[in-house]
Amino acid sequence: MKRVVRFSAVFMCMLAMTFLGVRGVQAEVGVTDDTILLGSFQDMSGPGAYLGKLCTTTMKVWMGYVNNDLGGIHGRKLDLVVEDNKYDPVLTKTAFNKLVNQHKVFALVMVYGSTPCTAVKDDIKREKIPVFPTMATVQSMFDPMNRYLYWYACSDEDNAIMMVDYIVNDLKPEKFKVGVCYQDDEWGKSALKGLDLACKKYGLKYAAAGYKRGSKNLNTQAMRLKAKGVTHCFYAGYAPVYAALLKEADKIGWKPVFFGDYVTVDPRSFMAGDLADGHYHFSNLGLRSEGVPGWKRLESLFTAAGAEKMLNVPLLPLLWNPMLMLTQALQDCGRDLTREKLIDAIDSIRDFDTGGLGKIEYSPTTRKGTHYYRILQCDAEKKIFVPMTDWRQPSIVWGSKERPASK
Amino acid sequence: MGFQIFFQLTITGLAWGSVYACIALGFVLIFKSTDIFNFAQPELMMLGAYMAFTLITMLRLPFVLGFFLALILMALIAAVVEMMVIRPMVGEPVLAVIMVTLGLANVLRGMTGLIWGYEELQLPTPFPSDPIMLFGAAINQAEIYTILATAVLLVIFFLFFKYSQAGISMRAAAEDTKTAFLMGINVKRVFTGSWVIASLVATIAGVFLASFTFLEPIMGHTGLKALPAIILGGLDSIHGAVIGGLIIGVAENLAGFYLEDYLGSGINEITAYVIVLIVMMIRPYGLFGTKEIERV
Amino acid sequence: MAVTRFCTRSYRQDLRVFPSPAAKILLVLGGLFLLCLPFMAGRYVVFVLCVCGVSVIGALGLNILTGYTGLISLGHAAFMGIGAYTAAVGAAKAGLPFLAALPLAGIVAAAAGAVVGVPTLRLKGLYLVVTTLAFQFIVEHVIYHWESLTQSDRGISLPPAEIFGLKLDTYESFYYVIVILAVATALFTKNLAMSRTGRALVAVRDRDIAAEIIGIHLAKYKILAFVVSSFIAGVAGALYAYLLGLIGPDHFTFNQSVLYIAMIIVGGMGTVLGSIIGALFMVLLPEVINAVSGPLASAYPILAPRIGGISVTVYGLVIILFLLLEPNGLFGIWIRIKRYWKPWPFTY
Repeated sequence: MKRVVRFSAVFMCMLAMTFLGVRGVQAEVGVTDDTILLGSFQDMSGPGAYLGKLCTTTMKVWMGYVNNDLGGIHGRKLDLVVEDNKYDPVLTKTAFNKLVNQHKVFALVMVYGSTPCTAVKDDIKREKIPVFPTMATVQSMFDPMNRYLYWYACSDEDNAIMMVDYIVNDLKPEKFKVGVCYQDDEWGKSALKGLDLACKKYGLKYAAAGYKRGSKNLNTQAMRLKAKGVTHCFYAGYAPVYAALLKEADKIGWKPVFFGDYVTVDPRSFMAGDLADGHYHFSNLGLRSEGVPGWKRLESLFTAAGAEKMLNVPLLPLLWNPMLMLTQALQDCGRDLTREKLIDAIDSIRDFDTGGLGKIEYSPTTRKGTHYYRILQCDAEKKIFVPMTDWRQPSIVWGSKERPASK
Repeated sequence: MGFQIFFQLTITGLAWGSVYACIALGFVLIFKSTDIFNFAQPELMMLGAYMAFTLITMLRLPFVLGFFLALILMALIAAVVEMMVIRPMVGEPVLAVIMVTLGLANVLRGMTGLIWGYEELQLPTPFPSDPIMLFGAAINQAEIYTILATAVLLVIFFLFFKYSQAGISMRAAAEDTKTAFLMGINVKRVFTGSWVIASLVATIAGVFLASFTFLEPIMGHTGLKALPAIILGGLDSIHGAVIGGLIIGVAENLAGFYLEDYLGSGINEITAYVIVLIVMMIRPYGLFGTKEIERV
Repeated sequence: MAVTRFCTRSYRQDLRVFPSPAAKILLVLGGLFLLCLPFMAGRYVVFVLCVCGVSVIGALGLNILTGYTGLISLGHAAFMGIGAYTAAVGAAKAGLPFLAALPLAGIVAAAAGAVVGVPTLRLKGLYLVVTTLAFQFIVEHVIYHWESLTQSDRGISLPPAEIFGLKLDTYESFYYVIVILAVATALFTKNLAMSRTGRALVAVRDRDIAAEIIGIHLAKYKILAFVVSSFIAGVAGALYAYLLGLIGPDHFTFNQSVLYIAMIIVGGMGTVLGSIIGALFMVLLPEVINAVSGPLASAYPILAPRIGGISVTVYGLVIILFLLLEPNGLFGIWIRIKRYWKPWPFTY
């Protein structure tokens, strides 16, 4: 008898625990009379935790701006729930499930990480939840097109082509050989692909050296590129490793002109000191040193929120521009807000003014938000980057015949 | 020209190999004395480097002084950790202790992220950045000091274990703990001592690694390379660990340059493990390890 | 009363997998509970339980190799990866149905197990561990670079599983498949442990030289352990692939191998129940920490930027404390609870 009682008690407890997942139903998911619930998964404790902190703070500042300065969106305040995915693909799927099925968010915002985002790509389509935007630097995010997944970052494929364009049309050195040092994953390989396309177009040969993500010993890569006589080298990877590459190149007496990708526009590139001076970088964003109105607003908002340190991150507009566009799109939808209406609203925004922070545009047939870039030059003494060109596109545009979109 | 390239690759390989060797040394020290495989050794290296960083940048101490203070601090931390976490596990199944060191690794990594943040940091070093030219190969000064320091460590440890009282007690405790107790050796102190020395060696490895790269909380990843080094050299051989580390460092670099065209990029990452597999087939106890004689 | 009942078990009863009526009742109730779960819990909970189920199968496989035979392996994730990719390539490229892909994954992984088992016959202790580690990294490398087969970073998408025309494209439906297979694996492992083979494996673990002397063929049993454990790992990997729908090289890394070792150690080495509890614990622990840290960060904003580091630290501390207090793992704690309750309200 005692035993039966004991077992029933345990059974009841287990039964009770399973009601964790039961929730009520809402009109449009995540939208109530006075709140719009947004969600995000961030790497808070894994290898990319630095970015996780940055994104979370930016989202909070943005929500403060919308809720307090703008008075909300048609009488609704924004609310946010963030789940930690530690950059792991399975934990990302779990976090995604939790956000969509348990927290029941309206949309996902500001997610990144090629592996995590790829893992939930199909789930996003199945759940029909807008994800605005993902900053994962892989082409599969927008190609083939997923109606619900918006992408805003820089395409290394675009930038590698632009490097060759710039060398051939602007720099015009007497002799040159192009090469690429890339992080050996999908991100870096897109730079390789871009260089390959450009070299085919101009009839050039190139050299390539890949390194495994996380590796800090670039001795063999630098030596190989030097042995092949590379004079202009594209770099696809993170800023600290870029600094390590600069130091390694200097050590072995290899002095090319580097073209760093958009992530190298970062104070950590200056870890190499004077060695970073004079090299080029790609960017789709406005710079703080230019003093554009967009940056002035960022400065006042972040300082008011006590997060001035984040203003030193040149990539801040990459997070901010889509949030501005999202604000506009939410307002355009009016009081009757649904996920589908939001997507249509985003797709119809043209010539969006970010206050000089960069360009961002989508259409019903494209989820690639960045089309225009500038080439910057590094001034190591003043520790800033200086624009050398106006806003331009690569000579082989994505979607054209030579670079068709996948089916 | 070809020889110059080969020489350059070898020297850089030796520098990285020295870092692996130091970490491997720490693993072997603890294993030799206590039969425990310390999963937290790479994290001790990371913590040592971060300690040195704080002392040098925040307290603005000169490099050498900061370095020595970091060594002392790490020794204290290692002693405390050993006494609080590892000592109570004496006698428990070995795998449980290994898991505890794994938990410890997580704790150290988490706390480092908490205190110093996750951003990469630069360790200011006194080594001038111009390379030295040696027979046509350029060597970073930081790399030279790493190689020299490792060589010095090797000699010190060899002498320590062969001739000094403490060293011999450690060897005795490792070989037969019960008899060592009977002979009057303070085995508890030996255990703590091995952790302390391992942490010192780890700090040296960490500071040097940070000197020619940078600091980050996942620095411990590099420490994983020390595992092939210890297996190559033999688990209970001090000089085996060092030689193993150097071999791995050089082999990696050479393979990365010469074989990448044929075997794809990233070949330098698995060279170490391929070498391990080959050596294990020929010599199951590593190059210098002693064959375990088991009695039934 | 309870004590005397324990003592009057017959030998035949003792040999059964579930000796006492209490165990049988608990099993039936537990089974009913598992079956009803998807109807009561939300999709998130079901998904987490599916991951738990797959991890349980994987842990049971590793337990055979490491817990029973004493061959510590850090390459378990590699075997799961081999199984997963076999199933993925089979299903996506060759159009194999679910019921064919699953055993095929197991067989290919088992073959890999034999390949690893043979050269490692001479190796002991840590040498064996690092050799399995070498295998793990080499498999990772091959998966990553064999682009024509594995599509590297882009990963392979699998069509949803289908059994006899019934499409299992929701987590709830796939949940049942996982539960059935997990139960089957647990029963198989328990049976194996109590059989002659199981006792031979344990003999190899405890005193292998003595075992050889009394006639246990070491090579045969060591390779058998590798093969069986890898087969189960392969099946677990294939289930994983179907569950996630898309697998990439990052799913089967060294960290996963360490996680599985942690599961069987924290759970209790060499016991079936221990592996199950350990797997559940290690999968649920990050979720629980997340569930707590989220509201905690909202309530105390000062913690928010620190929450990442705190959760990693807490994770490590929990493991340390568990093992400090009970080196036999969660199973040891379970045994203690049972021993305490059995003569209750008497103390002995």
